Amino acid sequence: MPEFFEVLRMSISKHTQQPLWLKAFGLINLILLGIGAYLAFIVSPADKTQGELVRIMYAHVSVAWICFVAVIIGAVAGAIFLWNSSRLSDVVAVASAELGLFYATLTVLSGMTWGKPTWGAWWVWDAKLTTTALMCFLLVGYFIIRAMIDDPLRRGRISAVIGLIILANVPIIYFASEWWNTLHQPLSLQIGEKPRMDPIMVKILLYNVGVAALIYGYFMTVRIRLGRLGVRQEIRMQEPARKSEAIHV
Amino acid sequence: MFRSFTQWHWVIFVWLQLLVAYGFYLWYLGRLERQLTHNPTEDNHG
Repeated sequence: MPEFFEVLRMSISKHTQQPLWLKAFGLINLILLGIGAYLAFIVSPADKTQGELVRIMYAHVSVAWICFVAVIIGAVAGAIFLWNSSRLSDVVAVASAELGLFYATLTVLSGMTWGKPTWGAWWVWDAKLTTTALMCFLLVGYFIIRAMIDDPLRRGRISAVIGLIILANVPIIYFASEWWNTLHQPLSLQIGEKPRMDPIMVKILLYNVGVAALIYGYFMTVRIRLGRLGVRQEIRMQEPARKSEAIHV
Repeated sequence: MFRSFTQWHWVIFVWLQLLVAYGFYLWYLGRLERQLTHNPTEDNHG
Protein backbone atom coordinates (compact mmCIF):
# COMPACT_ATOMS: atom_id res chain seq x y z
CA MET A 1 0.00 0.00 0.00
CA PRO A 2 2.74 2.59 0.74
CA GLU A 3 4.14 1.78 -2.71
CA PHE A 4 0.77 2.66 -4.28
CA PHE A 5 0.92 6.17 -2.77
CA GLU A 6 4.60 6.48 -3.68
CA VAL A 7 3.86 5.80 -7.36
CA LEU A 8 0.80 8.11 -7.23
CA ARG A 9 2.95 10.85 -5.67
CA MET A 10 5.57 10.32 -8.37
CA SER A 11 2.99 10.61 -11.13
CA ILE A 12 1.89 14.04 -9.90
CA SER A 13 5.18 15.32 -8.47
CA LYS A 14 8.21 17.01 -10.02
CA HIS A 15 9.88 13.57 -10.44
CA THR A 16 7.72 12.82 -13.44
CA GLN A 17 9.19 13.59 -16.86
CA GLN A 18 6.05 15.42 -17.93
CA PRO A 19 6.74 18.95 -19.21
CA LEU A 20 5.44 21.83 -17.13
CA TRP A 21 2.56 22.61 -19.52
CA LEU A 22 1.29 19.04 -19.22
CA LYS A 23 1.41 19.13 -15.43
CA ALA A 24 -0.42 22.48 -15.52
CA PHE A 25 -3.01 20.96 -17.88
CA GLY A 26 -3.56 18.11 -15.40
CA LEU A 27 -3.96 20.55 -12.52
CA ILE A 28 -6.43 22.72 -14.49
CA ASN A 29 -8.47 19.57 -15.22
CA LEU A 30 -8.60 18.79 -11.52
CA ILE A 31 -9.88 22.31 -10.76
CA LEU A 32 -12.45 22.06 -13.58
CA LEU A 33 -13.59 18.69 -12.19
CA GLY A 34 -14.05 20.35 -8.78
CA ILE A 35 -16.20 23.06 -10.40
CA GLY A 36 -18.18 20.32 -12.21
CA ALA A 37 -18.83 18.58 -8.88
CA TYR A 38 -19.92 21.91 -7.34
CA LEU A 39 -22.37 22.50 -10.22
CA ALA A 40 -23.72 18.95 -9.89
CA PHE A 41 -24.04 18.97 -6.10
CA ILE A 42 -25.06 22.55 -5.35
CA VAL A 43 -26.28 24.39 -8.47
CA SER A 44 -28.29 21.62 -10.17
CA PRO A 45 -31.91 21.35 -9.01
CA ALA A 46 -33.28 18.00 -7.87
CA ASP A 47 -35.32 16.08 -10.44
CA LYS A 48 -39.13 15.68 -10.23
CA THR A 49 -39.01 11.89 -10.41
CA GLN A 50 -35.43 10.97 -9.50
CA GLY A 51 -34.92 13.52 -6.73
CA GLU A 52 -31.28 14.01 -5.72
CA LEU A 53 -30.22 10.93 -7.70
CA VAL A 54 -30.20 13.02 -10.88
CA ARG A 55 -26.80 14.34 -9.72
CA ILE A 56 -25.37 10.93 -10.63
CA MET A 57 -26.27 11.65 -14.27
CA TYR A 58 -23.54 14.31 -14.59
CA ALA A 59 -20.85 11.80 -13.65
CA HIS A 60 -22.32 8.74 -15.41
CA VAL A 61 -23.38 10.27 -18.75
CA SER A 62 -20.12 12.22 -19.14
CA VAL A 63 -17.93 9.13 -18.72
CA ALA A 64 -20.25 7.09 -20.97
CA TRP A 65 -19.95 9.62 -23.81
CA ILE A 66 -16.18 9.86 -23.44
CA CYS A 67 -16.04 6.07 -23.54
CA PHE A 68 -17.66 6.26 -27.00
CA VAL A 69 -15.21 9.00 -28.08
CA ALA A 70 -12.25 6.89 -26.88
CA VAL A 71 -13.45 3.82 -28.78
CA ILE A 72 -14.09 5.87 -31.95
CA ILE A 73 -10.65 7.56 -31.83
CA GLY A 74 -8.99 4.21 -31.11
CA ALA A 75 -10.73 2.58 -34.08
CA VAL A 76 -9.88 5.49 -36.43
CA ALA A 77 -6.21 5.37 -35.34
CA GLY A 78 -6.27 1.61 -35.91
CA ALA A 79 -7.72 2.12 -39.39
CA ILE A 80 -4.92 4.62 -40.13
CA PHE A 81 -2.42 1.97 -39.00
CA LEU A 82 -3.98 -0.52 -41.43
CA TRP A 83 -3.48 2.07 -44.17
CA ASN A 84 0.06 3.35 -43.45
CA SER A 85 1.52 1.02 -40.74
CA SER A 86 2.83 4.01 -38.80
CA ARG A 87 3.83 3.09 -35.23
CA LEU A 88 2.44 6.40 -33.96
CA SER A 89 -1.10 5.53 -35.08
CA ASP A 90 -0.76 2.17 -33.28
CA VAL A 91 0.38 3.99 -30.13
CA VAL A 92 -2.66 6.32 -30.39
CA ALA A 93 -4.99 3.35 -31.02
CA VAL A 94 -3.71 1.49 -27.95
CA ALA A 95 -3.83 4.59 -25.73
CA SER A 96 -7.42 5.29 -26.76
CA ALA A 97 -8.51 1.65 -26.45
CA GLU A 98 -7.02 1.57 -22.96
CA LEU A 99 -8.95 4.69 -22.02
CA GLY A 100 -12.02 3.20 -23.72
CA LEU A 101 -11.76 0.24 -21.35
CA PHE A 102 -11.18 2.58 -18.41
CA TYR A 103 -14.24 4.72 -19.21
CA ALA A 104 -16.40 1.69 -20.12
CA THR A 105 -15.64 0.08 -16.75
CA LEU A 106 -16.39 3.37 -15.01
CA THR A 107 -19.64 3.66 -16.99
CA VAL A 108 -20.74 0.17 -15.93
CA LEU A 109 -19.81 0.75 -12.26
CA SER A 110 -21.46 4.18 -12.01
CA GLY A 111 -24.50 2.85 -13.93
CA MET A 112 -24.84 -0.08 -11.52
CA THR A 113 -24.62 2.32 -8.58
CA TRP A 114 -27.33 4.48 -10.16
CA GLY A 115 -29.43 1.38 -10.92
CA LYS A 116 -29.54 0.10 -7.34
CA PRO A 117 -31.51 3.03 -5.83
CA THR A 118 -33.64 3.67 -8.96
CA TRP A 119 -34.44 0.13 -10.19
CA GLY A 120 -33.79 -1.74 -6.93
CA ALA A 121 -31.12 -3.95 -8.52
CA TRP A 122 -27.41 -3.60 -9.18
CA TRP A 123 -27.71 -5.37 -12.53
CA VAL A 124 -30.43 -6.28 -15.00
CA TRP A 125 -29.88 -8.03 -18.34
CA ASP A 126 -31.14 -4.98 -20.15
CA ALA A 127 -30.03 -4.28 -23.77
CA LYS A 128 -28.03 -1.14 -22.91
CA LEU A 129 -26.28 -2.65 -19.90
CA THR A 130 -25.54 -5.94 -21.64
CA THR A 131 -24.07 -4.30 -24.76
CA THR A 132 -21.92 -1.99 -22.59
CA ALA A 133 -20.64 -4.99 -20.61
CA LEU A 134 -19.99 -6.74 -23.93
CA MET A 135 -17.87 -3.76 -25.02
CA CYS A 136 -15.83 -4.06 -21.79
CA PHE A 137 -15.16 -7.74 -22.51
CA LEU A 138 -14.25 -7.00 -26.15
CA LEU A 139 -11.78 -4.35 -24.99
CA VAL A 140 -10.25 -6.81 -22.51
CA GLY A 141 -9.96 -9.28 -25.42
CA TYR A 142 -8.26 -6.57 -27.48
CA PHE A 143 -5.44 -6.35 -24.91
CA ILE A 144 -5.20 -10.12 -24.38
CA ILE A 145 -4.72 -10.65 -28.12
CA ARG A 146 -2.17 -7.80 -28.31
CA ALA A 147 -0.17 -9.39 -25.49
CA MET A 148 -0.06 -12.68 -27.41
CA ILE A 149 1.55 -11.27 -30.56
CA ASP A 150 5.23 -10.28 -30.66
CA ASP A 151 5.49 -8.94 -34.21
CA PRO A 152 4.54 -5.21 -34.01
CA LEU A 153 3.11 -5.08 -37.54
CA ARG A 154 0.90 -8.15 -37.10
CA ARG A 155 -0.06 -7.04 -33.58
CA GLY A 156 -1.08 -3.60 -34.84
CA ARG A 157 -3.09 -4.97 -37.77
CA ILE A 158 -5.00 -7.59 -35.80
CA SER A 159 -5.80 -5.17 -32.97
CA ALA A 160 -6.90 -2.54 -35.50
CA VAL A 161 -9.44 -5.01 -36.92
CA ILE A 162 -10.68 -5.81 -33.39
CA GLY A 163 -10.91 -2.06 -32.71
CA LEU A 164 -13.19 -1.68 -35.75
CA ILE A 165 -15.38 -4.57 -34.53
CA ILE A 166 -15.67 -2.87 -31.12
CA LEU A 167 -16.60 0.38 -32.91
CA ALA A 168 -19.64 -1.36 -34.42
CA ASN A 169 -20.93 -1.82 -30.85
CA VAL A 170 -21.01 1.95 -30.14
CA PRO A 171 -24.22 2.87 -32.05
CA ILE A 172 -25.90 -0.28 -30.72
CA ILE A 173 -25.21 0.83 -27.13
CA TYR A 174 -26.16 4.45 -27.80
CA PHE A 175 -29.51 3.68 -29.42
CA ALA A 176 -30.30 0.56 -27.31
CA SER A 177 -32.78 2.50 -25.18
CA GLU A 178 -34.59 3.65 -28.37
CA TRP A 179 -34.49 0.36 -30.28
CA TRP A 180 -35.55 -1.97 -27.46
CA ASN A 181 -37.85 -1.76 -24.45
CA THR A 182 -35.39 -1.19 -21.67
CA LEU A 183 -35.33 -0.15 -18.04
CA HIS A 184 -32.60 2.32 -18.90
CA GLN A 185 -33.51 6.00 -19.03
CA PRO A 186 -34.04 7.37 -22.57
CA LEU A 187 -31.24 9.34 -24.26
CA SER A 188 -30.30 12.39 -22.18
CA LEU A 189 -29.73 14.57 -25.25
CA GLN A 190 -30.34 14.09 -28.94
CA ILE A 191 -29.01 16.24 -31.75
CA GLY A 192 -31.82 18.24 -33.40
CA GLU A 193 -34.32 17.49 -30.64
CA LYS A 194 -35.46 19.67 -27.76
CA PRO A 195 -33.87 18.46 -24.49
CA ARG A 196 -36.30 16.67 -22.18
CA MET A 197 -34.73 18.18 -19.07
CA ASP A 198 -34.33 21.59 -17.46
CA PRO A 199 -31.99 23.93 -19.45
CA ILE A 200 -29.73 24.42 -16.39
CA MET A 201 -29.34 20.63 -16.17
CA VAL A 202 -28.39 20.49 -19.86
CA LYS A 203 -25.72 23.17 -19.31
CA ILE A 204 -24.27 21.38 -16.26
CA LEU A 205 -24.29 18.07 -18.13
CA LEU A 206 -22.49 19.59 -21.14
CA TYR A 207 -19.96 21.24 -18.82
CA ASN A 208 -19.20 17.90 -17.14
CA VAL A 209 -18.93 16.17 -20.53
CA GLY A 210 -16.43 18.88 -21.55
CA VAL A 211 -14.39 18.31 -18.38
CA ALA A 212 -14.40 14.54 -18.93
CA ALA A 213 -13.21 15.20 -22.52
CA LEU A 214 -10.35 17.39 -21.25
CA ILE A 215 -9.35 14.73 -18.71
CA TYR A 216 -9.42 12.18 -21.55
CA GLY A 217 -7.20 14.55 -23.56
CA TYR A 218 -4.75 14.81 -20.65
CA PHE A 219 -4.61 11.05 -20.10
CA MET A 220 -4.22 10.48 -23.85
CA THR A 221 -1.30 12.93 -24.07
CA VAL A 222 0.52 11.27 -21.16
CA ARG A 223 -0.25 7.75 -22.44
CA ILE A 224 0.88 8.54 -26.00
CA ARG A 225 4.17 9.99 -24.69
CA LEU A 226 4.74 6.79 -22.71
CA GLY A 227 3.67 4.64 -25.68
CA ARG A 228 6.24 6.36 -27.91
CA LEU A 229 8.89 5.79 -25.25
CA GLY A 230 7.92 2.10 -25.19
CA VAL A 231 8.22 1.85 -28.99
CA ARG A 232 11.69 3.47 -28.90
CA GLN A 233 12.77 0.95 -26.25
CA GLU A 234 11.31 -1.94 -28.26
CA ILE A 235 13.25 -0.82 -31.35
CA ARG A 236 16.45 -0.40 -29.30
CA MET A 237 16.05 -3.90 -27.87
CA GLN A 238 15.47 -5.40 -31.31
CA GLU A 239 18.58 -3.76 -32.83
CA PRO A 240 21.25 -5.97 -31.13
CA ALA A 241 19.26 -9.06 -32.13
CA ARG A 242 19.17 -7.89 -35.74
CA LYS A 243 22.92 -7.14 -35.68
CA SER A 244 23.73 -10.59 -34.27
CA GLU A 245 21.54 -12.18 -36.94
CA ALA A 246 23.51 -10.27 -39.57
CA ILE A 247 26.80 -11.59 -38.16
CA HIS A 248 25.58 -15.20 -38.23
CA VAL A 249 24.33 -14.84 -41.80
CA MET B 1 -24.77 -1.48 4.49
CA PHE B 2 -26.47 -0.04 1.38
CA ARG B 3 -29.98 -0.35 2.87
CA SER B 4 -29.37 2.70 5.06
CA PHE B 5 -28.10 4.74 2.10
CA THR B 6 -30.00 7.93 1.36
CA GLN B 7 -30.13 9.45 -2.14
CA TRP B 8 -27.22 11.74 -1.22
CA HIS B 9 -25.12 8.75 -0.16
CA TRP B 10 -25.58 7.19 -3.60
CA VAL B 11 -24.67 10.46 -5.32
CA ILE B 12 -21.48 10.83 -3.24
CA PHE B 13 -20.66 7.14 -3.84
CA VAL B 14 -20.72 7.59 -7.64
CA TRP B 15 -18.65 10.78 -7.58
CA LEU B 16 -16.14 9.07 -5.28
CA GLN B 17 -15.89 6.24 -7.82
CA LEU B 18 -14.97 8.84 -10.42
CA LEU B 19 -12.26 10.34 -8.20
CA VAL B 20 -10.84 6.93 -7.23
CA ALA B 21 -10.81 5.81 -10.87
CA TYR B 22 -8.96 8.96 -12.01
CA GLY B 23 -6.49 8.48 -9.12
CA PHE B 24 -6.01 4.87 -10.12
CA TYR B 25 -5.29 5.74 -13.75
CA LEU B 26 -2.80 8.43 -12.64
CA TRP B 27 -1.11 5.80 -10.46
CA TYR B 28 -1.01 3.39 -13.42
CA LEU B 29 0.55 6.05 -15.67
CA GLY B 30 3.15 6.80 -12.97
CA ARG B 31 3.99 3.11 -12.67
CA LEU B 32 4.28 2.78 -16.45
CA GLU B 33 6.56 5.82 -16.58
CA ARG B 34 8.74 4.37 -13.82
CA GLN B 35 8.99 1.06 -15.68
CA LEU B 36 9.91 2.72 -18.97
CA THR B 37 12.40 5.24 -17.60
CA HIS B 38 14.01 2.89 -15.07
CA ASN B 39 17.44 1.79 -16.29
CA PRO B 40 17.98 -1.87 -15.27
CA THR B 41 21.77 -1.58 -15.59
CA GLU B 42 21.77 0.84 -12.65
CA ASP B 43 20.84 -2.05 -10.36
CA ASN B 44 23.92 -4.00 -11.35
CA HIS B 45 26.11 -1.30 -9.95
CA GLY B 46 24.28 -1.38 -6.63
